[in-house]
Amino acid sequence: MNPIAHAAGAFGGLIIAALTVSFVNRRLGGRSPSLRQLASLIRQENLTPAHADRFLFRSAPILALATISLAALFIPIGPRLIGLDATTGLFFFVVLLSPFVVAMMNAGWAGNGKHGLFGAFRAAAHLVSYEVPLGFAAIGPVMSAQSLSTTRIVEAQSSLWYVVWQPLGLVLFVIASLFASFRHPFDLAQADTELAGGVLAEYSGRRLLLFRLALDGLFALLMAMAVVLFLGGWHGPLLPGPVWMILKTICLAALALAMARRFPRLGHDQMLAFSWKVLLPASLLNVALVGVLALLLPARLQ
Amino acid sequence: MTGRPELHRRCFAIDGGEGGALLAELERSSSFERVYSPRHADTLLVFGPLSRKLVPAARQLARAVPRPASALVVADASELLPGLRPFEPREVQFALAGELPELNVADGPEPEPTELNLPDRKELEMATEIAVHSLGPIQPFTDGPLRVLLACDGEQVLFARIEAGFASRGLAEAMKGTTKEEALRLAERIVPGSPAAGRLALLRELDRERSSPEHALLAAELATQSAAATLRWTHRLFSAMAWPAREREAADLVASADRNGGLAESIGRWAAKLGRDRLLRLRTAGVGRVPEDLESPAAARELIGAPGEDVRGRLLRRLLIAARRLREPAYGNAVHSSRGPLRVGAGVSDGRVANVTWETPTAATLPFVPRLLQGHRLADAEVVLASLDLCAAEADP
Repeated sequence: MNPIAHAAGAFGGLIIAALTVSFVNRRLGGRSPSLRQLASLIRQENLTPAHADRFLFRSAPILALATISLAALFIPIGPRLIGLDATTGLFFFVVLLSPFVVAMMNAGWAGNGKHGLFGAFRAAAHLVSYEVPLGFAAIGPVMSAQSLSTTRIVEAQSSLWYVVWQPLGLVLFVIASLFASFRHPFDLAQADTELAGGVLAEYSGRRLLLFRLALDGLFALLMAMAVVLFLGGWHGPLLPGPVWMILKTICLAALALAMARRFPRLGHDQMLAFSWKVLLPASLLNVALVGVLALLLPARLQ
Repeated sequence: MTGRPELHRRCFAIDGGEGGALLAELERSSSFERVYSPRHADTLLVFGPLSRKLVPAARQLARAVPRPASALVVADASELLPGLRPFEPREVQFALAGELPELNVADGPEPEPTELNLPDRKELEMATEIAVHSLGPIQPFTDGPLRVLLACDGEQVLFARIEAGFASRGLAEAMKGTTKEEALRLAERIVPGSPAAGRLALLRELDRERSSPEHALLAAELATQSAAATLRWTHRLFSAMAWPAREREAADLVASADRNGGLAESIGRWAAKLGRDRLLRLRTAGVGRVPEDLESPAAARELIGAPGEDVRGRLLRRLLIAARRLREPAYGNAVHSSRGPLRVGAGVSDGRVANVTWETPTAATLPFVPRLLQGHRLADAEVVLASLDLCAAEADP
C-alpha cells in the first residue's frame, strides 16, 4: 500500500488516541483541558518569546509529533492492520522514544526562560532511568514469542495472554510508560504548579495544542504497546479485532490514569531512586522469572 | 453564591491578596481550568484591589497572555490591564457576587527593587552557575502575592529571599479617624477570608467587656471561617504536591464547610486518615523540618511548629487544631484566626478610632521562611513554602 496513506493513517489514529486520553483523564477528574478548551487554542495567538531560539522553539512540537507518528506505525490494530510490519518493530518503537526527549529538551531550552530550562534538564536527566526498565519489561514478551515483530508477539498470545504469567511485566511496563510519557506522578518536566508548565511554560496557541497532543499521544501509544505485549492485542471473542484493541487500550489507559491520581508527584531524587532501586531490580527479576517459566510451561500454553 | 458558572476558560489568577476564598469557590467548577503559566491562559482573573507595588507585575502578566484573551476583574482594576476585552455580563455577574472591594489601587509604600547578592563564583566549591528562580509575586503557593527568590545550584536551593509588600491595601491608614462601626467594618478585611477574626479582635480591644452575645456569635463564626481557611490551605498544599486524589478530598471538605454540620468530625476523620497514609510519610519525610536551633516567636509557632516538625506534622497538627476550635469556639482568651493568634491594638479619642495596629501570624513567620527553605530541593522548597500557609495580605496591611 501507499506509504503516505500509512503515515496519514498513523497520524490520524494518533490524534484521535491523544484526544481520547485527554477526555478520559478529564472524566477521571484529572487536570486535562476539555476538548472545547483545546479547540480554543487553535485560534489563539502563537507567541514566540523574545530572544528565543526561533527554529528550535517552533520545530519542537512538530518534532515531538513526528517522532511518535513514526512510532505509531509499529502498533498493530488488527491482524493485517499495521503501518509497518517490521521484523524488529518493537526495537524501533523503543528507539523512537528517545527523539521525543530531544523535542522536550529543545522546547525547554529554546524558550529562553528558567522554567523551561529546569524542565529540559529534568526531562534529560530522567531519560535513561525509564528507558532501561521499559526495555527490560518489554523483553519478557519478546523472550516468550521469540520475536521482535509486534504482530508475531500478538499472534503468539492467541491461546494465552502474557499478562497471565507475566503480570509483573505489565505493571512495570505501565509504570515505566507513565514515566516515559511525562505523566502525572512523574511529570516533573512539565510540572504546572511547580514550574508553571516547565518545558511547556512558554508555549501558547497552536504549538501548545500540538505539544499537548504529542504528550497525550505518546501515552496512548505506550498503552497500546502494553496491550500488544501483554494483553493479547486484537485477540478477543465476538467483536472484530481492531475494536478489541481500542477497547483494551482505553481501559488500560483509564486504569493507569486512575491509579496515578492516588500518588503525589515524586521529587526529582525520589524518582531516580524509585527507578534505579525498585523498577530496575524488579524488571531484572521479571526477566529471570520469564526465562524460567518459558522453560517450565508447556509450549501449548505459551 | 448559587450555581456553578460554566466558564470553559483557561484562567490565570492574579490575586491582589483578598481573592483566595473566591478563587477556591471558582476552582470547584468543573468547567474552570486554572493554569499556572500566563501563556496557557485565555482569561486573566484579577482579584483586586491591587497594590501599587503589584501593578507592574500584573501588567507584565497581562502582556504575556496570548490574544484573544479576556479579563475577569473583581474590583475595578480594568484600566490597569490594557488590551484585554471585558467578560460578557453573564459571566461578570458571577464574579461580582463576591464582595466588591471599594479600593482600586491601594496606597502603599513606593516599590523598592529587591537585590539578591549572589556569592562570588570563586567562593563556590564547584563553580557552577547559580540560577535565581523567581517565584512570584504571583505564585500558587501562598495566599496572595509574595515574591520568593530561590538561588538554586541545579535543583538545590542554596539560599532564599522573601520580598513582601505586594498585598498592601492601606487598611491602617483608612481606619484612622473613623467611627467605631466603620473601623469594625474595615477590620473585617485584616484577615482575608475570615472577616470575623479582625472584627472580633478589634471589638475585644474596643469593648473591654468580653462576654456579650455578639462576641460569642463572632467566635463561633470565626471557628467555621477558620476551619474553611485551613481546608483551603490543605487544598493549596496538596496542589503544590500535585496529589489529585487528596486535592479532591480537600476541595470536598471545603465545599461542606458552609453546611457546618459535623465538620469537626469530618476534619478529625480526615486527619486520622492522613496520619495513617504511608505515601504522605514517604513524600514528606524530613521535608521542611524545623531546625532545632530555630527560635520562632509565639505568634509564629502555630504556622511553623515546634523544632523537629516537618510538613506532615504541620498538616496534621493544624487540622486537629481546626477541628478542636470548631468544637470549642471560645477556647482561650486570645483571638485565633486560622493561622494563629491575632492581636489588635487601638486607641479611641472623641468617639473616633485613633490608631489601629495589629500583629498577625504571617508577619511573625515571614523572617523565618528563608531559613526553612534553605538546602531543600526546588520541588520540596515549594512544598515547604505551601505548608507554611502564608497570607500575604495579613502581613502587608
